[in-house]
Amino acid sequence: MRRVSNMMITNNSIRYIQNNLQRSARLQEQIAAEKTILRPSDNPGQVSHVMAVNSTISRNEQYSRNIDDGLAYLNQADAALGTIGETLSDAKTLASQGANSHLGNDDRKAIAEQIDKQIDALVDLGNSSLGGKYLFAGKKNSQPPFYRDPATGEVYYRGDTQRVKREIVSGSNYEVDAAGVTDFGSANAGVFGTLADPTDPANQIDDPLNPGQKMTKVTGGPLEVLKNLRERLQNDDMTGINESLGELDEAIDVELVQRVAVGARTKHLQAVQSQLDDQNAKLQEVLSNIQDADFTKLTVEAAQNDLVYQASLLVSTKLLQTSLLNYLD
Amino acid sequence: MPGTFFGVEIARRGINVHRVAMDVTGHNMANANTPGYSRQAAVIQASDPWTIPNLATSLQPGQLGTGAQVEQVRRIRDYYLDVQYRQAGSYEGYWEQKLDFAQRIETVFPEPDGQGIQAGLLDFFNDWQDLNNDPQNSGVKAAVKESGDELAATIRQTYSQLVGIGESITGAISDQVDHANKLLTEIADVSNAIIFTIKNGAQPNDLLDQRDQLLDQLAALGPINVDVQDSGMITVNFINSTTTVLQDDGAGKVTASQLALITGAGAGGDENHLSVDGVDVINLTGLADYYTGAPEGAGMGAILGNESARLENKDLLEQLDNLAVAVIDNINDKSGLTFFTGTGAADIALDGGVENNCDIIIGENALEVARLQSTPVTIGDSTATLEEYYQGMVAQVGASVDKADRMLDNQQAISQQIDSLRQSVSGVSLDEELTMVIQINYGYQASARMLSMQDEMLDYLINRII
Repeated sequence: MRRVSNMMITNNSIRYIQNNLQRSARLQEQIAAEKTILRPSDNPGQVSHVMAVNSTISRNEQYSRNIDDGLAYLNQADAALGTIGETLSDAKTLASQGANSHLGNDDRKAIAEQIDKQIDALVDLGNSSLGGKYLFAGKKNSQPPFYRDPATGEVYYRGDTQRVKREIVSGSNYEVDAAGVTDFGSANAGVFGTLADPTDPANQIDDPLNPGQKMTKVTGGPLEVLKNLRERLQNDDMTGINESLGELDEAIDVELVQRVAVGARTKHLQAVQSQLDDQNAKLQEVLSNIQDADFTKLTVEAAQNDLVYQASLLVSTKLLQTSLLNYLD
Repeated sequence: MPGTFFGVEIARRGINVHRVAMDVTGHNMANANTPGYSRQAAVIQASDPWTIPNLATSLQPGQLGTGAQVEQVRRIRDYYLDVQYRQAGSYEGYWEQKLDFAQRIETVFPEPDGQGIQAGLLDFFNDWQDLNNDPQNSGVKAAVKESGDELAATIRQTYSQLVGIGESITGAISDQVDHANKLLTEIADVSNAIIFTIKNGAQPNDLLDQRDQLLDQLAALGPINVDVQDSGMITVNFINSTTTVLQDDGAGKVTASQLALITGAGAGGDENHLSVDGVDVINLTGLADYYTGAPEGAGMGAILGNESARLENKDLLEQLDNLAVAVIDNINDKSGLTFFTGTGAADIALDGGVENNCDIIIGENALEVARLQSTPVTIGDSTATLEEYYQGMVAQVGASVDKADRMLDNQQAISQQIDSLRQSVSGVSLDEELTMVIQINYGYQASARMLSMQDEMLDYLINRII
C-alpha cells in the first residue's frame, strides 16, 4: 500500500471536481445548442460529412428555386399557346365565312380586317412576358421580340434563337420554354415560324428600339398563314382561301404539338422537384442523426454527472476536514 | 566501568535527539503545502558504544551503549521518479501548447453551421444560379457582386486571423525562451549554493528541492537530460541531446548558457532556431517537424509544441492560399471577366470594375460559373471541388484539436500518476507527522524523566551522605 500525502488528496480533489465541471459544461452546451457537433473538433470524422450534406441541401434548394422559376415560365408559355390556339380557331371560323361564295368583296375585306387584327394579337402573344422577361425571345429576353412593321405589315424578330434553360439537377440544363422562332433553314419551326435568310438585306430592317441593330423577318408559321389568308380575302381568291383553311389546320396541329411538349417538360420538372424534396427530407434526417442532440440521453447524463459532481464535492470537504488534528488536545 | 555522570550524558543525548526529530517533523508540517517539497527524516542512530573493543582491551560480555544521536537529516526522494516525471512533463508541455493554439485556430473556422467560407461559397454559387435564371437582371448581378465581395472578405479575414495566430505563436516561443533563460540562471545559482553547502559538510535538502522543482519547470519547456554529481555539480542538456545549457565552468562552479530565438532561419528563411550563447545550434523546425513525422524528442516540451503549432498554422495558411488562388483563377476564367483580383488569400478582392458597375457581369456565363460549385478543379497539389478542399481543411483543424486534446489528457494522466508516486514517496502526510509528534514527545518526556531521576539519585549521593 502506497503512502498518501495531504497534497495528493488536495490535488486529486481539485482534479475530480474539475473533470466533473468540464463534463457539466460540455453537456450544458450540447443541451442548450440542441446539437452534438458545435465545432470541428467535436467530431472531426463527421464534420466534413455534415458540411457536405449542408451544401447538398443548399444546392437542392437552389435547384428547387430554379425549377419553380422554370415552371412559371412553362405555365406562362402554356397559357400563351392556349390563346394562340384559340386565335387560330377563330381565324379558321372567319376563313370558313370568307369561303362562302355568297359574300361580296366588301364583306371579305371586312373579314380580312379582322384577320389583320388577329395578326396583331399573335404578335402581342409573341411578346408575352413574365416578370419583365419575354417568353418567346430566347435568351435575349429583356425586350419584346416581335415587331410588326406598320408600313409593310411584315413581322420582324429582335430576340435570339437560343433556348431558355434552367439547371434543375447538377449538370443537367433543361429547356423551360417553347422556341418563339427557329433559325433560317431549321427543320422545325418555332411557335411563330422561322427566320428568313438573314444574309439577304431584303429580309432585314433597322430596329427602332436598338439603333444600329437589325431585325430579321419571320416566315412560315401561323403569322404567315394569317398574312396569306388576309391577302387572299382581300383579293377574293377563293381557291387561296380554301388553301388557307388547310394551312390553318396544320398551324393548329403544330401549335398543339408545341403545347404537348411544354406539358411534358412541366411534368418532368415537377417530377424532379418532388424528387429533390424527398432527397432533402432524407438529407435533413441524415444531418439530424449525425448532429442533433438526444435530449433524453443528454438530460439523463447531465443528471448523472451532477450527482457525481455533488458526491465529489461532498467527499472532498469531508476528507479535507478530517485529520488527526481534530483529535489532539 | 563508566563514570558517575554517564547516565546524565545519555539522557541529555536522548533529549537532544528528540528535539532534533521534533524540529524535522515541525519543518515537514510547515512545508506540507510547499510545492516540490520532499519530506525529511531525522536518521537516528545509537551513538558509538562506550568501549570500542580492540586487541589491547580485555573483552567483556556486552558493550555499554552511549545513547542516540542524529546521524543526518535525510531527504526522502526517488531520483528515478524525477526523471520520469520530467519526461512526462515535457510531453504534457508539448500537447498543452498544441491544444492551446489548435483551439485558437479552430475558432477561425466557424463550422459546420456557421457563417464561414463554406457559407460564403454556397451563397456565391447560388447567386450565380439565380443569375443564370435571369441573365439580364441588374438586381441579381448586384447580388452576385455582393456575395462575391463577402466571400473574398471572409477568405481575407480568415487568413489574417491565422496570420495573427502565427504571430502569437512566435511570441509565445520567444517568451518561453526568456523563461528558460531565467530558469537556467536560477538553477545555476541554486546549484552553486548546493555545491558550497556540501563542501561545508552539510546536507542542503531544501536547496535540492528547489533545484529539482526548477528542473521540472525547465523540462516542461523542453526535454532535458540531467546529470547530477555528489558534489552538487549539475550538467543539463536541453531539447537536443548534444546541447548543454548548464555545465561545469572548470572551477567547480555551474554556469548557465543564454538561449535566444532566431526567427526566419534555415535555407528557406522560414525556420525557427535557438542559439546557445550566440551559436545557432538547435533547429526547432527540424525537431518539431510537423510534415514528415516525428524525429526523436519531437513531441516534447512547450517550445517544440509551439513550433509544431506554428508549422500546422503555416500549412493551413498555404491551403487557404491555394483555395483563394483557385477561386480567383476559376471564377475569372468561367465568368469571362476579371471578377476577383489578388494573388492569394491575403489580398483576394472583388475587382474594381465589378465593384463600380456590376452590369459588366456577363449573365450568359452564369451557368458555367455556377457549375464550378460541383466541378473538381486543381487546388494546390490536389484536385477537388472548392468546397471539398475547404471541408478537408476544416476536418484537419478539427482532428488536430481532437488529437491534441486526447494526447494532453493521456499525458496529464501519466504525469498525475507519476506525480502521485512521487508524492507517495516525498509528500508530507500530516497524520503521519502528528503521530511522529506524539511518539517523539513521549521519547522526549522519557529522556527528561530519566534525567530528573538521575538528578534525584545524584542528590541522594552528593547531598544526603554526610
